[in-house]
Amino acid sequence: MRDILAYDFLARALAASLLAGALCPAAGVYLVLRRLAFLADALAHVSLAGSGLGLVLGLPPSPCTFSFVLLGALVVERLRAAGRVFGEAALVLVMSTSLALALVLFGLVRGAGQELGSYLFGSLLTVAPGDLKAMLAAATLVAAFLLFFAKELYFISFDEECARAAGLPVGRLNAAFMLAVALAVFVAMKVIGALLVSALMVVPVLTAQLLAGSFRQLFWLSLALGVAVSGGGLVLSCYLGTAPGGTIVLVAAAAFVLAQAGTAGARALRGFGQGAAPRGARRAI
Amino acid sequence: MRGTVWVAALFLAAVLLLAFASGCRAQKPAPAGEKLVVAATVFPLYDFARQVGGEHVEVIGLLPPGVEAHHWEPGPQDALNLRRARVFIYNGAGMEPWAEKYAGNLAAGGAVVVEASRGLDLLPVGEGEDGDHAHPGSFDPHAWLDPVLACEMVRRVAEALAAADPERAAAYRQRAADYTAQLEQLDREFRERSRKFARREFVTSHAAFGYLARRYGLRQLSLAGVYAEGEPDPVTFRRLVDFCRREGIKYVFYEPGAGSRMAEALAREVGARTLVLHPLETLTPQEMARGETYLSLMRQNMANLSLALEE
Repeated sequence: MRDILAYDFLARALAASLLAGALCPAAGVYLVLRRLAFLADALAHVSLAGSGLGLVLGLPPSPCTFSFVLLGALVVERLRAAGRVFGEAALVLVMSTSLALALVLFGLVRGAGQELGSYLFGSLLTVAPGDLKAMLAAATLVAAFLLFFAKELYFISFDEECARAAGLPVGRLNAAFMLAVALAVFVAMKVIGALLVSALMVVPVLTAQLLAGSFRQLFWLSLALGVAVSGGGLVLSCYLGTAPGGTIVLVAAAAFVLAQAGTAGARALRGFGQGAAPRGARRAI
Repeated sequence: MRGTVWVAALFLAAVLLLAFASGCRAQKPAPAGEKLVVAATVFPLYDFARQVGGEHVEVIGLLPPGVEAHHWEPGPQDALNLRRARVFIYNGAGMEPWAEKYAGNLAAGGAVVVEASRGLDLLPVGEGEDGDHAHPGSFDPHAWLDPVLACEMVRRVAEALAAADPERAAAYRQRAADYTAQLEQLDREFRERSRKFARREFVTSHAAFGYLARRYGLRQLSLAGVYAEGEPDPVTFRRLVDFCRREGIKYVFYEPGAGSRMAEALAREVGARTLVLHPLETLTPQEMARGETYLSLMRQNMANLSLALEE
């Protein structure tokens, strides 16, 4: 661990992966509950197109990517809220269109093949001090929103109609939530790449779901798991010489398998010992 | 009934295919005074054909300015251009895997086909190069970056032009001799400059400079492999950081284009600066517009290497 922090680039990589590890599952909890897990994937591809546009126009990639993702989030929310397209089909529309746009844009620039790879799979080793500051700012915004509106978001996630009837500004909250997800995607892009962003948003939440007994537990456990797997994955990749993004997701998947096996085993044991009806581990959801 | 339709369709397709193939074979001899059409792949071969052919040839550079050479393949328009060419020059050694397919067809159609790197003393890939994975049985294709090997390539280009256009053979050979004299001058300059280098190791983003390094007794360390693929893993990157710190490396080389991110990250980590080292596979549109040549870019490479390695 000490010899990791002796390198500035690894220290920054670690900071970035911890940020993404905390932020992604925090937003991901609501995505999973609302059956919008695919949304992160779609927005990641939108940001890919944004990066491509930045490259072609010679603009700084971060602001370009960022504004594109925000735009994509609003488009998706509009399509979803208008109800003229099924939520999931709207995501496919946005995702494939922006992936196609990204392919065309990256094809226009020399050396972009290599760049495209770093956007698809993340580029943890090249996190610059400026990148880290932008990521920190985005993360602070998202965290503030998620914590401040936790109750409202929770309500909407379980029953949007009821929340509306209760007088919550559901439309505005949904739009703001989409923007928060977009920001989280923006942070995670650098860490884990467009293709794997959704894994970091969803897999820790699924794991926590097996263990948590309440929504509050689910939220904080997801967050803790996200931090643990992304920090652990990066450290592991430093010793194994594997791709950091892939290693992080594999560690997250391994945690899920362990939790699944562990809870199943515990339930079997309890059922065997007491002869009682198994208590549903997923009772909370 | 359906069966007969299928048989008829197949028959028709076969007839069309035959007609098309024989159409491709019919090669018109160029009328006197008309330019010899030459198609070349990577930029150095394009430039060599231009220098040797002079006003007698029309050279088609197949790789458009600004593309990533290792991942390019010809589209329909390029295939039409290729059919027009009476000389086709490609590098070989794995630089243009698609070219071998075209080479056979073009040669059968009467064009003169040159594989410029064939039989040269090629470097196997992955032999003692840091940051590189072993590709057994494959070679580093960037042979043109060694001016001595470039001379041999120029001679081959001249012979090909002479074979396709025997009337002007003497002119091509003369121009090739003049041009190789300039390449030999470049080699002498490199030799002299490299004698003054205080260090032998240089760090690049893309491992394209093995031949240059071998010729002048230098050593190349690189972030990505010979085919410019992917990003290094943390272990490889850390090894390069350690190396740069130990050796006090002041400059990290990258190639023009968009892929300089890793070089910048390495330079930032070790407090070095970045400099261009041009692999010459393709030029950017700006470089084309500036009228850069093999010689001008190699001299620029020499100047930047001197900057990094002297002192």
